[in-house]
Amino acid sequence: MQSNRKTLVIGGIAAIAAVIFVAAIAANGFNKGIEANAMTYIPKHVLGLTTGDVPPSEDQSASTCGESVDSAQAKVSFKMLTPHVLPEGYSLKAATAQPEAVQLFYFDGNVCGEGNKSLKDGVVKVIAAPLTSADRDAKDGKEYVTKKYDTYVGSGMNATVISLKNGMQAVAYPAGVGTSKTIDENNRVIMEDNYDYAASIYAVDDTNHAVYRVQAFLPLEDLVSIAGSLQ
Amino acid sequence: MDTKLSSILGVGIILGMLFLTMPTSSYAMFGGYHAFDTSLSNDPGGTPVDIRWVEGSVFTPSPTLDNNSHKDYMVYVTTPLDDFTAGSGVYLQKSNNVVSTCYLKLFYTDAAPNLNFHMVTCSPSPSGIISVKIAQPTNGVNTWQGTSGGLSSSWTGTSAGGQQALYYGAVVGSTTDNRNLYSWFANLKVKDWTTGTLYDFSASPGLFKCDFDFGYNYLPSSDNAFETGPPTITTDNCADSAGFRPAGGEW
Repeated sequence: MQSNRKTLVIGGIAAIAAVIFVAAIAANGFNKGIEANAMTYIPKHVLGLTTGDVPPSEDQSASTCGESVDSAQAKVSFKMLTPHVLPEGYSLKAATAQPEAVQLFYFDGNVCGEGNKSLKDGVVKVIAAPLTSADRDAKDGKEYVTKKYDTYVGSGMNATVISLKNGMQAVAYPAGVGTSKTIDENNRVIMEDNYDYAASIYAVDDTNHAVYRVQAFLPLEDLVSIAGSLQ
Repeated sequence: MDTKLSSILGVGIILGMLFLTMPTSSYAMFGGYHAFDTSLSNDPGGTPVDIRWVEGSVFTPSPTLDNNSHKDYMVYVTTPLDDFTAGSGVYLQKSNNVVSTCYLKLFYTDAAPNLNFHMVTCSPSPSGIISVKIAQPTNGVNTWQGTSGGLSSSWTGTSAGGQQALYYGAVVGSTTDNRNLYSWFANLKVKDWTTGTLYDFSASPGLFKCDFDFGYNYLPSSDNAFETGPPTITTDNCADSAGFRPAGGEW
């Protein structure tokens, strides 16, 4: 009996040792080739719209458009990081480059062509630009994030400053309902109505002096996970 | 070490390995992903353009409106990182069951997405075809000037002064699914800030793109406004196949 207990304890220790051994290998980058491409998927949870916006239409077969990340990367001066955490089933569906800006679209359906889907359907946009073009006066991520936080809070928004897993400073706000005001030539407000806006997180990579915005109608914690996986 | 102990140790190690490689219910590990290259060019010569100027003609519409709602018909630009958008055109609203048609001198959203403004003149009302333009007169200065008919308004934002527009063109802002964009815009042109070239959208109508976002119906976006290859987007979803509609009439 005692012998059996002893062997069970030894077996348990061996199992734990195996766990530690393999984890140590992974932590030391023994298999960096696989790790570099590894993705983590989180449950897809698209937020519903609260104003009378266009309802999501039926899914179409996935297609791609635009250019590759490498092609877009070649057109800008900063390093384009990509997320390694996405909602289940998502992958890169489109990339576009502007002068000093790259935009990536992730989704599990069609983002271009007929029946293309947009943010309200759950598309995740990642937009990146140099810090200098986002804010010519901000010295670093901390200053950029602080100024943006002050702007949002000053506008009555529920903004949050976050330190992401990848070390980036970030400011974020959840999806919400905005107000549209119409003002006549006498400065009178003659109309007010509402619209939906998506959640956003702005993360600054101080190493590459670039700002990344992740935008989607997803829970804010999902955007934090996605932005924290930019690498 | 006896055989029994060796077996138990072996099983323990195998169980440990299996535990490490087993996906959990929430987080599953998969292989890599691949980016796609469609080899489509989205701009002339493969060089991105820097648009800070959009102009065109708007047919004054008479749309169906829900009570206490509005619709915008405007040329616009929007910048990539902030929630900034600026535009000008025609604005209609229905309030207390009365419809007003107004010059939209300037529409803007500042750096916070929870508030936007329409600067309008409703008396006199626009009619027929009016010229509209939204432009950033000085590079690097975040002042935007909108012109609708003979009326104009300008505004200086708190950020986004150095950013390039990511989307631009013509837009119908609406809370309903309305894709009759081509009915209301003509002579759309954009100016490349860097080269000063004024591009004419109507030279390539088959390349326009209809893009929904936030209930707004953008046409075209930069994604394929200057696409030189075969169009991947048809205009069916946002174009009136009969061409431009005359002003007036419910739709």
